[in-house]
Amino acid sequence: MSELLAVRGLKVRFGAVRAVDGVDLEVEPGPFGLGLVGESGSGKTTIGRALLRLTPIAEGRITLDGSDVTSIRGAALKRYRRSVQIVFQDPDGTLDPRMRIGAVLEEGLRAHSIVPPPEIPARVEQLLDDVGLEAAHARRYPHQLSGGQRQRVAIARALAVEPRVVVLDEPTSALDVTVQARVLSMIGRLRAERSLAYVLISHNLAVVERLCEHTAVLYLGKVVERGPTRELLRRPAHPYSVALRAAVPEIDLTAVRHAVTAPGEPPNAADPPPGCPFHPRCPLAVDRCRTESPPLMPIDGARSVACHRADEVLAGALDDG
Amino acid sequence: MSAPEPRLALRDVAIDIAGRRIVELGRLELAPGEVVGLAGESGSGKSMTALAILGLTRSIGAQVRGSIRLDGAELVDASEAELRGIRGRRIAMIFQSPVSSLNPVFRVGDVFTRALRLHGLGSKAEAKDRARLALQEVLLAPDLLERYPSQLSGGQAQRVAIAMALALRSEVLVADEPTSALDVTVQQEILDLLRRVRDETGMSVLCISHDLAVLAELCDRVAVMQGGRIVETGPARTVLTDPRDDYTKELVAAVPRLGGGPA
Repeated sequence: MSELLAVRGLKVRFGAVRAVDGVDLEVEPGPFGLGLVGESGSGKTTIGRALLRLTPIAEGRITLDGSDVTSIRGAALKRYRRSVQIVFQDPDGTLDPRMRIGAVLEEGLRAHSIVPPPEIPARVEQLLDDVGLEAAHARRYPHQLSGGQRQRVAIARALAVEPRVVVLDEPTSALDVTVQARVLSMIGRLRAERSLAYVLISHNLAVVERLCEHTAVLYLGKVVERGPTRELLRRPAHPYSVALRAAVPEIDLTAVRHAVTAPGEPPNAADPPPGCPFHPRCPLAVDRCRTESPPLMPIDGARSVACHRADEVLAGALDDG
Repeated sequence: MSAPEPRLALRDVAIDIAGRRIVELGRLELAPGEVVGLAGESGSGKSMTALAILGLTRSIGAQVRGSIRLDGAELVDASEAELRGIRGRRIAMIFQSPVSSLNPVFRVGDVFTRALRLHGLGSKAEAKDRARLALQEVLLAPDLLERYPSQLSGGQAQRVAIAMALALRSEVLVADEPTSALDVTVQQEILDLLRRVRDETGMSVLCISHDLAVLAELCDRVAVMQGGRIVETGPARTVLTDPRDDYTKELVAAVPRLGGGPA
C-alpha cells in the first residue's frame, strides 16, 4: 500500500444522523493534497475530526502507514496525534488568549520532545519564519495579532510537531481576501519545502483546485464523486459536482453565467431520502434514482462516481443551452 | 441623457467614533432600480456606511456629518421618529445571518403582520394576504408563515427577509453580506432572486460584500472602500476586470479563480 493515511468505510453517527455514511479516502505521501468539498451538512468537517480521532467512529477503519489507528488509546493515540495535526477555520477558538505565541509553539515542541530543550528558542524562531512571521511575534499575545497572523500561528503550531499529515479545515474562510491569498501561497510554499501531505476541507472549489491533486465531493455524508482535481473540475461526472461548479460566482464577467442546476437545499440528514440522496434536487433523476442508491463506481482512470446517469452527465446532458 | 434623480444620495459623509474618523465618503448614489456594490475588507467602513444610511449609527455612539438623502429628503438630521418610519420600511435591510435577524419567538407570519401593521399597511387580514403574496414572489410555500425562524434553513430565512422588503414595497434594500453565510448553490439562488426583484419592482439595492465575484454577478456599479474611503468606483465590469487603483488591483488579483490551475 502506498497510502500514508487511509480511511475505509468510515461511518460517524450523531444520534439518528448519519453524518458520515461509509466513506473511503486516501492521502498519499507528501507533497500531496486531498480536497474535501461539499456544502453544510455534507460531513466534510466531521471527517476531518474523525481523522484526528476527535469524534467517536461508529464503523470503519483509519490506517496510518498501514497500521490501524481506529481504536488506539493512551500513548499510542498521543503518538498518532503528533503524526496527524489539524488547523481549524477560526484560530481564535484554539489559541489560549493568555499564552504568548512563543509559549504556544513551545508547548508542542516540549510535549512531543521534538528538539532538546536548549534548541527550543531557535526552533520557535524557525517556525515563525516558516509561516512568514517575525521572531518578535513570539513575545506577543494572540489579541495583539491580526486574524491572518493568528491563522499563521495555528499553522506553525501544527507544523511544530513535524506531522505526517495536516488536516486544514477551511483554513482561510474567516480571513479577508488579500490575507487569504497570502495564507494560501504560504501553504503552497510549505507543501513544497516540507513535502507536506494534507487534507484540505473547503467550500471553495478554486482553493481546492489550486492546492489539491485529488478531490472528493461529499453530499449528505457520502462521497458522490472523487478523482484527480483537474479532471473532476474540467468534466464533473456527478450532477451535484456539476451544480457546485456552476454555482461558483465568476468575477470574470466575460464568462457566461451558468444555469442553476441544483434548486433547493440539501435534505435533512436525520431523514435522508430513499435511493440517491441527491435525487430530490437532481435535474436528471429518474425512477431508479428514487429507489436505488448508486454505489461509487470507477470510471476512467482514477475517478469514481456514484450516479446512475453518470455516462449521460459526461456526455453533456447538463451542459448549458 | 440627463441622469435621473438618484433615489439615495450620499454626499461628503463623514462618520466619527470617539473623535476618530472611521468613514469619509465623497459621493455615493443609487438610481431607481440600480444595484450598487460596496466592496472592501474588514475595517474598510462598508458596514458602518450601511448603518449610517439606516440611521443606526446613533445607537452605537457614532457621529455622522454630511448629507444622506432619500428621494431628496435629508436623513442625517432626521428625528428618531422620522427614521422609524423609513428604516425597515422605505429602506429595508437584510443581513449575513438571516435566521438570527428574525425574532425567534414569532412565527414568520406574525413577523410580517406586525411589520406591515406597524407601518400602517392595512388590517390584519390585508397584511396576511400581502405576506402570502410576497412569499409567493420569492418562491416560498405559504405554509412557511406558520413556522418559527429556527425551523427555516439559511436560504429560506434570507428569502423571507427579501419577501418582507417586497411586502413593505421598500424603495431601497441594503444587503450586508447577504450570501456570505450560505452554501454556494443557495447563494446563487439568492443572487438570482435579488436580480429578479430589482427587474420586477425597480427596487434599488446596495449590496455590501467582501466577495468581489458575488458583486461582479449582481451589481451594475461597484465602489471599492479602503480605510473608510472609496478608492475606486465605476461600472462593475470595468472596475473588476480592469481596475485602476492599486488596492483594487490587489483585491481583484487575490480572488481565487477556477481554471487557474495549481500555484
